[in-house]
Amino acid sequence: MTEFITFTVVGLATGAIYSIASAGLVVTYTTSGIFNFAHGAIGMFSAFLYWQLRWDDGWGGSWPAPIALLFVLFVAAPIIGIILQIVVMRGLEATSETTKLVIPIAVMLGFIGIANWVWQGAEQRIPKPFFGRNAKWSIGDAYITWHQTIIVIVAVLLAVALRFLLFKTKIGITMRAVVDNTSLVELNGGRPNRAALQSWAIGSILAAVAGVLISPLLGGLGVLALTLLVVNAYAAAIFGKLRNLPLTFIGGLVIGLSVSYWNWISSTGQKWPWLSELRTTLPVVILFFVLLLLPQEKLRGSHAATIRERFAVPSIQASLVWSSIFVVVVSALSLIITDKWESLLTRGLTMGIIALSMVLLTGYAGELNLAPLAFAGIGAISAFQFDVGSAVETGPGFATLIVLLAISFGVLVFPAFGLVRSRLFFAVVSFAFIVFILVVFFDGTTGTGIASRESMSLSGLVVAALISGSIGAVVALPALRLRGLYLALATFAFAIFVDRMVYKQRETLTFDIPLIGDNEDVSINIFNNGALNIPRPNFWRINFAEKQWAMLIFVSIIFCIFSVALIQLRKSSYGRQLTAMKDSPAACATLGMNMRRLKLSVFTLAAAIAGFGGALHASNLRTIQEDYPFTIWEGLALFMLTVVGGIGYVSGALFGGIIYACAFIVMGDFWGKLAEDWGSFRWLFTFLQDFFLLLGPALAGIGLGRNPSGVGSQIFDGFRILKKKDHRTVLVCGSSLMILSWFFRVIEVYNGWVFILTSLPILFLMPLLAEARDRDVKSRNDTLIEMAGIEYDFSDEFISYIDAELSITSDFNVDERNTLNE
Amino acid sequence: MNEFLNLENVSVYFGGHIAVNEVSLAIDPGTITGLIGPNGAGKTTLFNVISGLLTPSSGRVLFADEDITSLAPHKRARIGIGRTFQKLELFNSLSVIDNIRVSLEISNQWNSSRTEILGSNISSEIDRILDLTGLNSVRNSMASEIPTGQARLVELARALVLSPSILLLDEPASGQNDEETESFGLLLRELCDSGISIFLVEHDMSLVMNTCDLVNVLDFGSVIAKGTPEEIQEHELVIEAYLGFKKR
Ligand SMILES: Nc1ncnc2c1ncn2[C@@H]1O[C@H](COP(=O)(O)OP(=O)(O)O)[C@@H](O)[C@H]1O
Ligand SMILES: [Mg+2]
Repeated sequence: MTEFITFTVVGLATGAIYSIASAGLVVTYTTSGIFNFAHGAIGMFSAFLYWQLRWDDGWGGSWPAPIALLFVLFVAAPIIGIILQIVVMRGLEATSETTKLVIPIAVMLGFIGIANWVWQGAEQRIPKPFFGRNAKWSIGDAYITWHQTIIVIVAVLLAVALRFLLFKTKIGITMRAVVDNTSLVELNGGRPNRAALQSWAIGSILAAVAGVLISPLLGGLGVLALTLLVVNAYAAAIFGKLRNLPLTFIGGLVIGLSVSYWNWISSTGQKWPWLSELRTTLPVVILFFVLLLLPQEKLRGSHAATIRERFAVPSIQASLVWSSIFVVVVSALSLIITDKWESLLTRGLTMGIIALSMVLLTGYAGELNLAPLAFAGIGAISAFQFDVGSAVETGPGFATLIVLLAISFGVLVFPAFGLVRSRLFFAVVSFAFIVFILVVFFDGTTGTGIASRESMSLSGLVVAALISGSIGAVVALPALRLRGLYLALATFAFAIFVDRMVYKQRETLTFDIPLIGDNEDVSINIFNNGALNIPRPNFWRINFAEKQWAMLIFVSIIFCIFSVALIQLRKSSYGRQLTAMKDSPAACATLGMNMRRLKLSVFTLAAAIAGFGGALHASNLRTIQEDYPFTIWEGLALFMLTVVGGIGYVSGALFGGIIYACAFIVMGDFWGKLAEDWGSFRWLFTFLQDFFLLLGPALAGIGLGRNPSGVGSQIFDGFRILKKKDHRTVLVCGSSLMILSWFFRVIEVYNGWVFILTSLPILFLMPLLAEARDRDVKSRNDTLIEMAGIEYDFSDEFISYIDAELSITSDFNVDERNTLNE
Repeated sequence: MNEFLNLENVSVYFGGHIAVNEVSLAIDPGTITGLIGPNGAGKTTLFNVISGLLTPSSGRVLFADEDITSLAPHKRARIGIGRTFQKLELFNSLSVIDNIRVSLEISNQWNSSRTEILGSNISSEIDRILDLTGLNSVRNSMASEIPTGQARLVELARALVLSPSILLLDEPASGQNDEETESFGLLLRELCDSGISIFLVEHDMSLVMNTCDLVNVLDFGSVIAKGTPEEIQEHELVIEAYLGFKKR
């Protein structure tokens, strides 16, 4: 009984904190329609701030609790909320779902960056509970701390206050009305902007309350741990469908109690060691299942601001030409850059391959997935376990298993391509056959797995893709009915699940996988005590392990193969159907499309690409750890930067991957080097170094995440002008100069900086020059005096177009106007 | 003749708001039936109920004597209910011709009997539909860039690809000029003669009065009148509803 009371009290207390945090989420969501991903980070930030004011040795440090509390909760938090609303979130309601997701994610990463910056160092920061650790009272033999008591009281008070605020005050009623209809509120004299400001201030206060209350329950403050703890509250908010406050409070309590009772049953995870991380994962597991049980929302129509294709999809010839140019340029660069740059660029490209999975899933098909790196991680682990790992014996059984996987992959993916039945069968069989040949060729039919080998094989990459694809299907299957934000949250939950339950798995699991291991049980140690060593490949007698440049070129070729394949897919019937589904699910349904099959297939395919890329990325890095490179945080950053690059296009994946892996590191290094060389400005350069490393990605996301077509495609667009025949001279001269500069660098006439300082300006001057020439030509053409200053002819079609757009049926229709002119 | 689309006492509530109130309607095969009424009367909502995008709060939808009230939208399309949208739902990232092509490809997925006929003839089928709807001049334009009047025709073309037995058209003539509307009326007649029944929501009274065999009038979610165009023009309640609407 005593135990029961103790665990119930603990559960109620944490549950109450989740309720408070999720109430904040609901308040901002109902008034602005934006799911504030940064909510957890605001809580984290406030907890750190409170600690700073109360206990730090530096500034602040010894403020009395009430003053520190007042400052954090009623000065800092509302200011944060208001600034966020004004600077970042305003105007986001009318944008696409992707943008609505990316901007708050960028803000979250920004807070994490700032916190890591301000509170860096390994110092243990242990906040004390209210009234100290020993302040407690008891029911029977069970002790209840004052801190727990305060938490519950605060939650009850806040619940009552919120109820009152939303239903009994004018502010609250306006706040509730805003989400339903902003312009109507305006008509009735309400001020939606003010309501939005207030709701963001309140939401941020609630996050801060939760952060301050929850921090003493941890061993010590940790940026990511604290952020994720508040993320647990997301599940509670989903209980209330992001709208209903009472249900949200109940949801928080359910989550708190489940975790606590699980701790009780499992003796804090010790009873079943392989489930030991479930105590931290339970909330997201609940989140996933609550999402599945949510009543299905109705099919929506198109969004005003989805990602628009701005130019035609390139032809097969064009994409092949561009790919060859790309590989040639990369090879040329590999001759003149250092190993460090080569390895950064290789990472950028392997990340780019993973980002291609998002181009397919989010860019082409319009389905959100926040777990790209979870699938990449699964791919890397599969490659390790089945190709490189010591555990699994390869052999006939293994080959059979892989063939079965290949068949199920084919059955999941191919039907959506619209093949007739006979050809479908043929396609699946030949796919499985190719996979079989690969496995037999590279792995042989006998022997043990990779531990006994020193290199990754092609079959390892294929196995990675197949297993990750299958798991993608398993995740997608229940989630098929989810769309938009809900799908994003479900995949987010999955990513956290993989972070905790897979990467942190330390137990050796024993399976009885049929076919493998001669009827013996197979023991798999999923994440070998926190690090997996995955060797580089070794094909065609090229030793990729020692030659970074070879790895770079190999990876660039793979990137091009995937890109060309994706572009072809986009132009196929399958690609058109994906586009149709993205543009208007409602119209697709009224054309008889069964979207679930299509979604399942595209999800599987995208997960397979991510798995392939993940295995390649891991093999390039040689080692992966539980906390790098496939965590949820890295995944969110990659997603965000791919959107910045242009998630609708292959070029966006390239930009996303490269920005992610190189850009900020290179910029940081640049300032770091300056800081070394210029001692007197050290503080400035170190500041800039930290700034770019810690905040660069977040700022790029906030600044550029709204652009629906992305930076990558815009830059390419800029170079389009060079395709014109008139500008061939510019193109030829420019390229020759760059090649010359490259040549001088190769024969070491000068160093890398000079090369960059000569070739980059030439590269970007070319389109500018071409434009200038165009302008010249235009102004030389004589203009009629009455046409001066008029850029377009108002043609008849254009006039009737305007009329139609304005819904004017012009009495003056085209024919009449012509006769009048005569 | 047996009536083949039947609504029985259909009601739709949005929260406390009654958008459609106990509507009973029947569409006869081979006819053009009009549905008119002021903005907000519930016409689009009724279409959403018929095509399955919305489940009615009460009442039944029957099609060819089968209860389809809770059938998924894509299955309704497969039994021959096509529609267009008042708020355009084009595939904006595709060109006009690809909008039609993808519709064909989608319908080929479920209509396997047609695959063999169309397998190689896809482009001639596309041409036929482009000609029929007069969209040949904009076939390669992006769907997002053509005028509204033509965009509505693209929606119609897309729906025609299914060879539906009934077509629900939601304000198809808005955004078209007089001339276009007139030829649109002729097109509707032609389609109807080829065996497609049409259920038409339209604000352009001349189009409705000239092409419809029967007209239903909806106001505040209820059917206030039914009859031939001539009867409707005389009907007191209708005049009242429209005057009220015009004054607003
Ligand atoms: N999804 C919805 N949620 C709430 N109210 C709606 C929704 N859709 C339509 N309505 C309301 O239902 C009524 C009927 O709308 P609608 O069917 O679009 O009218 P019509 O097409 O005749 O102009 C209107 O008052 C409208 O505001
Ligand atoms: Mg309408």
